[in-house]
Amino acid sequence: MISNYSPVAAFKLEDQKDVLTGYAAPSGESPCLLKLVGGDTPIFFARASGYSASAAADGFRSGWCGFEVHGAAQAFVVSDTVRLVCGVSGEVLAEITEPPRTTSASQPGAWSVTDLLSEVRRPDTSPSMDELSRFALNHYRRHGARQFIEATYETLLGRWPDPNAPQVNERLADDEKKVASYLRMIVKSEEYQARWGALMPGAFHPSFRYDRSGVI
Amino acid sequence: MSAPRKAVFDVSALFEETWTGIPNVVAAIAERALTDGDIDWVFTYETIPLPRDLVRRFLRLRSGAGGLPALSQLAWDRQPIPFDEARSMVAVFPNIKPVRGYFGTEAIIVHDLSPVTTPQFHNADNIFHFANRIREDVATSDHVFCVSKATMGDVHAYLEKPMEQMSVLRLGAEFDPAELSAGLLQVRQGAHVEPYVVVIGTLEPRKNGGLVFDYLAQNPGFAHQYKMVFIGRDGWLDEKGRLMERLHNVGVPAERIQFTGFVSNTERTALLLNSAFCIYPSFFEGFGLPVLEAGALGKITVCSNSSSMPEVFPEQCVFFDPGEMYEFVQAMRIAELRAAQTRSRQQSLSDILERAAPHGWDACYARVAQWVKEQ
Repeated sequence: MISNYSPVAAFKLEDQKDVLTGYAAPSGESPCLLKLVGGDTPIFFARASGYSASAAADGFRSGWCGFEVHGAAQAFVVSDTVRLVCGVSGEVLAEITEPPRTTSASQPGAWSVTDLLSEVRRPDTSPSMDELSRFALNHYRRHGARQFIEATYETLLGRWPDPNAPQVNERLADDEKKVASYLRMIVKSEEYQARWGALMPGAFHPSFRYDRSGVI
Repeated sequence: MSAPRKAVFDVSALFEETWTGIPNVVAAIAERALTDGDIDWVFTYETIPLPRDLVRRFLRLRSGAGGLPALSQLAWDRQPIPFDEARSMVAVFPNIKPVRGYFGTEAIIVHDLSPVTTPQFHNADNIFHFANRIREDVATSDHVFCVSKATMGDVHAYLEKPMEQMSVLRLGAEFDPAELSAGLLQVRQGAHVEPYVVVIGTLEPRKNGGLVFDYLAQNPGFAHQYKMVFIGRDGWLDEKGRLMERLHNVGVPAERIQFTGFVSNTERTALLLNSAFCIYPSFFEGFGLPVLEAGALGKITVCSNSSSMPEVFPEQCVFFDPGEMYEFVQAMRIAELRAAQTRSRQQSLSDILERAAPHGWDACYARVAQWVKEQ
C-alpha cells in the first residue's frame, strides 16, 4: 500500500488548531502519505490529495496536495515528542510543540451514519464546481465528447451512461460553455443529489475518472 | 547464478473500472509480483504482454479506467506470447482461463463453484457460461489454487480434480493506513456516531439479506436501538420496496434502515470500524472476504455457518444456520454482548494495524510464488 505514495518534495504546515492542515507536494505522480506519531506510535495517517488554496497559490499540483491530520491531542497523550513525518521516506516534516487547543464549539458531537460518510468523503472532495470543471474541460478537449460524457457519468453518478443519456449541447459557442452546461445538468439531477448531496468529488476520489494529465 | 524463472500472470481483471472481488485479488498478487526479483513475471491481458508501467498505473489508480484504449493499441503494437516460447513458461490464471494448455505449466485460482453448487441463485446464462468453462479450465490445469477448503472440496467432488493437484490459497485483507485513519473517530475530539449494525454484501438473494428483514419484523425494537446499514450494490430492485413496506407495517420507520449503495474503500472501512457489529448472512461464499476484513478490524460478525465461512475468522464470528431464524436471533444476542465487551470502536490505530498485519496478502503471494519456483 505504501508503494501507492510518493515521498514529500515540498511541505507547508498552515494550521495547528484542532486539525493540522497544509500541503505536501510529492516528488512523483502519486500523492504523499503523512504520518503523525507520538514518540514511535503511529496515531494518524493522511493522504495529501485534497485541495489546498495555498498549494495552488504556491504553484503545486494546481492545489491538489492538501492534507488534514487529526489526532494531535491523542499523540501528546502518548508522548511529548509529536512529529509529522513522510509516510514513505520517514523524513521528519514538522515537530508539533503544543497540544491543539480545542473548544467545546469546535467539537463535532453526535453524527448520523450519513454524517459519518460525508465527513470521511470530505477531504477527497472538490471545493467548487470551478475546480471540477477544469478537469472536465481538459478531458473533453483531450478525449472528445463521448469519453467526456462517460467520465462525467462515472465520476458524478457512479455508473456508465445509459443509451438515453443526454448529449453535449453542440450549439453552444465554446468548449467551456458546453462542458459547464453539461456538468450543471448532471449536478442538478436527483441521482447526483442522492449520491453526493452538497459535495463534489475531488481529483483523487476513487470515483474520479477525468484525465488529470496536463492539469496536475 | 541461474536466470529467474519466467512466469505469466494474467491481469485482465485489472482492466475493470471499479474493483471489487477478483480484481482486488489480482491487484494484491500483482503488487507483490512487481517487487519479486526471484521470478521474472510477465503480466498479460490473456496472452498479450503488458508494460509494467501500465500495471503500476492501474495499481496506483486502483482502477482500470482508460485501460481498454491502451489495450487496443497494445494489441497492434505487441504480439501475443508465441506458442513456442509459452511452452517453456509457467502461467497463473486468477479466474477464467483465456487459453488452455498454451503454456507449459498452468495453474488456475478457483474462487467458488456457486453457479454449479447453488444454481438457484444464478441466472441460466451465468450457470451455462460458468459450467461450460470451469470443468475444462480445471481439467487442463496442472495445479488448482482454491480460496478455501470448502471450495477445494467442491472442486474435488464436482469436477473430480485429484486432491494432490490442488492447494488452499487463503486470501488476505489489507487496509491503506490513510483509509483506516479517516474512519477513526476517537482521534476527533467529541465525535461519536449513532449506534448501528452493518449488513455486508451486495443486495441479492444469495446474500440472504431478507433474513435481516424477517428478524426486524419479529424484533422491531432492535431497529430502534440500532440503525441497520446495508453496505453494497443494490441487486434487489423491487424486492427492497416490498421488504420496507413490511417493516413499516410493524412500526419500523424507513429511516432506521439505510442502504449505502456502492461505497469507496475509505467509506466502507469507516462504516465497519464504527459499527457495533457486523452481519454476514450469505447462503454461500467461496471465501467470504468481508468476514476476514471485519475480523481483522476487530469486529464481531454474526456469520452464516455454510460453505467456506466457518474457515475465515471463526474466533471473531458468532455462527448460525442461514435458514434458521431461531439460530439467527440467538446469534444476534450473543454478538451484541460480545461487541459490548470488546469495545472495538475504541481501538487505536496502532492496535488495528497490529491486529490486521497477520491477515495481509503476503502469505497468499508467497504460496503462488513458491508453486511457480517449484515448476
